[in-house]
Amino acid sequence: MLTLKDFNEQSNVLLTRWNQCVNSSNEIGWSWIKINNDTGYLTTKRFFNNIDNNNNISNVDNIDNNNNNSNIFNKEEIIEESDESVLKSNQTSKTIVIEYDIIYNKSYRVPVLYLNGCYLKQSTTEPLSWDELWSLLPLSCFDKQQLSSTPYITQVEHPILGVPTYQLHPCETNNLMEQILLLKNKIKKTNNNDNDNSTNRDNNDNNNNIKNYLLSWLTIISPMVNIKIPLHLIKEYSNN
Amino acid sequence: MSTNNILQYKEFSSFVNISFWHELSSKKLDVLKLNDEPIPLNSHYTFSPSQQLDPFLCLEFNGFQQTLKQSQQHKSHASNNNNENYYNVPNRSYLVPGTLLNYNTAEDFKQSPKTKLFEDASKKIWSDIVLGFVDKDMTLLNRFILITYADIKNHQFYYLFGIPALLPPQPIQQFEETKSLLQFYNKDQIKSTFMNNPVPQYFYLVGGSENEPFEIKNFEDSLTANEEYFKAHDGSREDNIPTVGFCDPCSLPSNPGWPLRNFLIYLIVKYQIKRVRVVCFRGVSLSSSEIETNSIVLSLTLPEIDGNITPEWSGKSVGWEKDNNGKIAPRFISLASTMDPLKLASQSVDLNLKLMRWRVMPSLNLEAIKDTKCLLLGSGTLGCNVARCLMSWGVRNITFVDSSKVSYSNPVRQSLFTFDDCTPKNKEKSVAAAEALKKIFPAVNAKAEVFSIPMPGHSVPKHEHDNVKATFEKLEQLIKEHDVVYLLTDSRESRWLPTLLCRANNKLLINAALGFDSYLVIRHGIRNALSQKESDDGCDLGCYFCNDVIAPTDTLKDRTLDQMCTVTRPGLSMIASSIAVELLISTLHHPLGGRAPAETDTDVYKQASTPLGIVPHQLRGFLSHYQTLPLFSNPYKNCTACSDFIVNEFNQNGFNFILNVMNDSSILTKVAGIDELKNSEVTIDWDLDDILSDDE
Repeated sequence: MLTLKDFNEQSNVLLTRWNQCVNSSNEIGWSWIKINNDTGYLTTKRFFNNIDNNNNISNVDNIDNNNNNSNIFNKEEIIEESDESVLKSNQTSKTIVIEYDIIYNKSYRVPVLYLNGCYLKQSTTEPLSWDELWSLLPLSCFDKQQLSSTPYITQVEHPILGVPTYQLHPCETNNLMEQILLLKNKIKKTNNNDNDNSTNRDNNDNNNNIKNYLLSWLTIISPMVNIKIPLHLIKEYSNN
Repeated sequence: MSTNNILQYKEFSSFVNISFWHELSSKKLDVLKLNDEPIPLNSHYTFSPSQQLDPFLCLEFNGFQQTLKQSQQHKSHASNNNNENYYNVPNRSYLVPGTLLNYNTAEDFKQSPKTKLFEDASKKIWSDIVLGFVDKDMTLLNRFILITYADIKNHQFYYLFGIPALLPPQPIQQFEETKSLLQFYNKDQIKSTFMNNPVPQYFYLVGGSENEPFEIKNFEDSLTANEEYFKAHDGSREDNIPTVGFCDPCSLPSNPGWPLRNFLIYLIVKYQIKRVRVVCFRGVSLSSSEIETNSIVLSLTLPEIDGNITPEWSGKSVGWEKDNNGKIAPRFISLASTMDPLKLASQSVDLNLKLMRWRVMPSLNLEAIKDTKCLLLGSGTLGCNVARCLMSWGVRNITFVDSSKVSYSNPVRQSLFTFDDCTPKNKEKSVAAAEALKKIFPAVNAKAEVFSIPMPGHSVPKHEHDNVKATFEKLEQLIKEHDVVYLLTDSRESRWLPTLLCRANNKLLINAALGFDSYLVIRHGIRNALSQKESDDGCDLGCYFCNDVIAPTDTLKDRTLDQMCTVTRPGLSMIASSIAVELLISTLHHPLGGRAPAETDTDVYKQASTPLGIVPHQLRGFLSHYQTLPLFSNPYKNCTACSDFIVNEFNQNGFNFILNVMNDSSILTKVAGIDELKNSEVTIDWDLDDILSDDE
């Protein structure tokens, strides 16, 4: 379990280190949204082009074609100076934005991942329906294999924004993390036995584990929801 | 160089996050109300992750927040508010301030002076350049206007985005081809210049002769230094062309993004630059010690602005956001799915059930459950609890039938009613139950019918014939329209007609009855039509009456279930109701559905026939020793409700047969052939007291 103080501190460290490691534009960085002096949360979003999901998104196209906004506004009302310096593009973009928020849950005392998505078209923005969002998550494939460690997803109100959003349910997080931290300790201990090392080192390990709670958790969660962790980051953490 | 080297910019695409609209809605309801004064906003852009993606200007829930710098500038009259949250620009992103103009009606939105608003924003950018405000705050070069009409009632928003770019007297030309940053500088230079320092939104590069790294100068740092540098580097000669840069949201190989436009105007107006090299900075990364970047360098000839430069702008500007066809038209977003509480409730309910499927039972057939139409005959404790439990399973179509009204004693036991249903006027039970379901979950399709079920032995006077016939027809119609009939009435006689009708119409019927501390839940399995002899699939099952006539000889004999039903242990109804619902769900999951053979608890140890386990025929439970027994009985060939004799008689004579039974229930034993049996133990007393019908 993680205290709020630990969460805030680890978020701060994670954010700084992570963002230092983000160099290329296709890696995402995190931001800290401050709520008040002792609460806040991590947030990021990912833009990507929707290539082959026509089936899932087709209903959105229909909505767009209906063009039910035409009556509210006379299209000829604004005429702009023609400007040859504007790049003409015939490309109609089909962009999907997925947002991720990591928020501390006080009753479970663990970090919780919230996610939401929307679909951008030239003349509208559509929230992704559950089925659309689900089909985009690698988690949907995980689940087919019925892995026991996959987390529950539920629709909830965003604890801070009040917007409907999806959360990876925190009920299993603690169990999962205990196993991970236990495993880490075992590995360390085996190594220690090999090296015939002292208990002094064990204490350090425990500290390390708690210190890396947020990152450890994120490394497990992220592949399920398409967050790429910069390789540099892991290197850096393991060096320290 | 070809003759036409006009530099072309990629426009911004707006990304107004859904959270912004939520924030606007709540602001409008709580703070703004009908006020339509302009409101300052903040947005940002970031490096574009791929060429296929537009450069996005992102406006989010925190768009209404001011940056620390902005709030300090307005500090003079603002109160000392330490708890204020400031707009934080995300990592590797750059601020673009703007103004929101929200109109209260579609008409106001239509009539709003959009062209003027856009011009005003352009003029402001110009005067900020000329009057020197930009020198201290380069973010003033980019400014957007957002014109909205928020139809909060329908969760719909119309909006127009404008990001004004001032037009120079002539289009800006490239005097050399666009080059990649990697072609322009060597790798060490790039690495030491751009990777070790934070890159400001607008900058210029100093030094960098030979292979030395450049120094990145932020425009906002020192006006004197800027003036000195650009005096010496105004681009009038080949050797004094300045190198400036900006953080570019575009990632196309030869075009810059929108934030360059007003920046170039600034360079022309402020420093009279003739030629310039522009680093369109798009991030630099190291991949296995190789430098990677899609940043480009432009070489530009800048036009001069004739005449005196005054703070009054008289030029042209462009930058309305356009639709697919290049038209300037408002965008539309409907957030009914995220704001309409009704839709939200439906989504959440579905999702929670799907959860069960994902997690526990991939073969759970939620669609079949959702589509099942349930008719609940009786809206007392059993009716209320069965309805609630059906709704938990995602059943959306529930029809209540009851003839009685909610009385003061009801609400404590009958879980859909409250005190208010008894006063000032007693509501009809079925009506109150349907209303309660909709209150709990508005997406449910709950209906109510008020009538009492015709009963054998309850003789019908001549003048009532038409009424009873209408009721009978209504009941048969309802049974035909539904997939499952729950028989939850309080008396034995009222169960007879539905049993027969379901048998005749081949509908699954689930019957629940309560004793003081025991209950019975039994499904009347579907049977094949009479013409269709012995079925190959599935199994015929006994009905409530079959079982009763040849009732298992146990202690229940002297207190039949119905007789005791007004005095039952209160928990019993909930147990029986839950079992009645779960029995349906199990049956729906059996490949044979209503013809699923009866299974008993011994079958649990074999391979279960459904993902949910066994499908029993009937369950008898005893609270006295906390036991539930799955039992099984065959149909009784002389049953007074479901035997072929009765069904044939009904098929031939229809309502007339029913009417005769109403007037004289002894016909039943005659028709069923029981009278021919010499067994004197079999007697049926149809003339039960009617004292129970007012409750439960």
